Amino acid sequence: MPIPRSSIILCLLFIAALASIVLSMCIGSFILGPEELFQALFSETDSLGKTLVWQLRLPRAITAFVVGGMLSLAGALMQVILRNPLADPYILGISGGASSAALLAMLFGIAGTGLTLFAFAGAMLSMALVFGIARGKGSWSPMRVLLTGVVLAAGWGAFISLILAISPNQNLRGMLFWLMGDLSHVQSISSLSFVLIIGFLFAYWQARPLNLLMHGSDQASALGVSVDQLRSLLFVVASLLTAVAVSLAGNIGFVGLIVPHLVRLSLGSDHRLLLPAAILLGGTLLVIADLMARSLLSPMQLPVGVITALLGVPLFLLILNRTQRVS
Amino acid sequence: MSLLCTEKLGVQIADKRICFSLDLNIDPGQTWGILGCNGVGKTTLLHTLAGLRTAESGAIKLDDQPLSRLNRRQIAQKMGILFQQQVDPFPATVLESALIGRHPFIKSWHWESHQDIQITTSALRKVGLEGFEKRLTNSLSGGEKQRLKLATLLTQNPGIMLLDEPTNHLDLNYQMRLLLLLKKHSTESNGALLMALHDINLAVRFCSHIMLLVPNQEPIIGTPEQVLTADNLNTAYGWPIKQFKNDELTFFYPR
Repeated sequence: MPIPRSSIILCLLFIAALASIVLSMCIGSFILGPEELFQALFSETDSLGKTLVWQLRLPRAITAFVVGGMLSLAGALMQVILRNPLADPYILGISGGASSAALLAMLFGIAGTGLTLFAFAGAMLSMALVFGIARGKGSWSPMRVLLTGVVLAAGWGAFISLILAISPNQNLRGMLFWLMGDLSHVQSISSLSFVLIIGFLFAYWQARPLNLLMHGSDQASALGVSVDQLRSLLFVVASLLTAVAVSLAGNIGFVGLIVPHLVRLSLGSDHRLLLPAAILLGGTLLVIADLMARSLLSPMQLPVGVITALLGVPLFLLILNRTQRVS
Repeated sequence: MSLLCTEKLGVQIADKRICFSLDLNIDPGQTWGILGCNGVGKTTLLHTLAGLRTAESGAIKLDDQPLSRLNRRQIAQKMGILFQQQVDPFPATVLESALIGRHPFIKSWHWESHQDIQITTSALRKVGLEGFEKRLTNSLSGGEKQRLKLATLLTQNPGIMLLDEPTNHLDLNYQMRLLLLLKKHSTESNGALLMALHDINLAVRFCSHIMLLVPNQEPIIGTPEQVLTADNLNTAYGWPIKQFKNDELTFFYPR
């Protein structure tokens, strides 16, 4: 197979990811030049730049990268397991469950780690509901899981509107920010990265079977894939990735839907290339979106979810339009 | 030793019985045709034999080993199936699509080797899809898609090929060419073919054995001469069918 070509592409995406992180370390209310950044990163002496880079900008850039990677990976997996190009990490209502629980926590004045735990519990509850109900008597058919998830998501949506309607005014702004995705108070970077790496390893291990699953579950089983096991495993992986990303960073939309398609449109659908490329591209996109969110109208911060949508929609339409013309 | 055999196999879909107690022995070199009217259970029977759905009763053995004790990968190394329908919401290239036939022979974490690609391109050449390698599957015509599916099966190269209406969407030229190709391939490799067909004449021409599925009855099994009588065909299809015979060929046509 075209190993060299795919390595080149992955290398380029990796460089882009690094560049986006470096850029987001330089830019902010206080702009660092290349030399200052180098000093801030590697010199022993304490300085404003050092604090800024090590304690604020770098952690935030890495968080953005990891969350973007998680959502893109989860989206790519959901699309192929559900065999539906419209699927995204939120389609099964996992984010709805997380959001409902998070808003409920905010309504009771819970913040910080408590809020994250609440959101995660909500995501898990939603996941258990989807798989419990969709399982029924038989095995998980993609259509059943999809319908169950979409209906549950609609239910969570109504619940979210209800909480927003009964919340006092001073809570509303925080809630809306959370709903649109917010990276400003994420702390546990190492555990976040660990989840992404584990999720990626599981998914990559099954990358070739996923290529077969694209051709239908019967075709895949006839060619030696244990489809039920593959689906169950990757449903859980994708759901956990989504649950972790959403409970830490809120509902960041569009990344999980658009990035896998961007990769498919430009690189094809071999999952051994698609999955790592989606993580790198999704991460880079979210780092840049977050950079824009905190610097466009600084000192005001914009919700990053709005930026991802504003960036993602035209980018996606452009590439879709181009590939149509080529084929 | 049979390549594929069934013992007292019972297959049912919804309330409809396809067989109660089917004893089937498919030996190397044989070509079986499954005939019967719409909805009589040809596809269900093929899927059951492929291990894609469980039988109500009885056992299926692949190379004398119970199918239920083999995993999907072990089955795929010996038996392949051509499906009737297929939808691809995500387009892939023709080469990528045919290459999945090598999956049962490649270890996890490994990539396809040059040899795998050679096997695949030669299969594509055999079905007349040479030069189509980089085309996207959603730009193919119905007949080309069918030939691509056949190429995927040839790439897998299993001893037993189950074929669900292999001539679907194919023009006359490719119907003959590909059936001849499959037959020659299976004879040379000591394999066996089992195909659901709608064209009785093609079945007579290519099959050494026939299984005629009749609604609410046990399938009728035997050589074409034994099975394809006017009586049996009338019962199976619910339409009078005439036989025309001379020295070279037997020909069936509906009255």
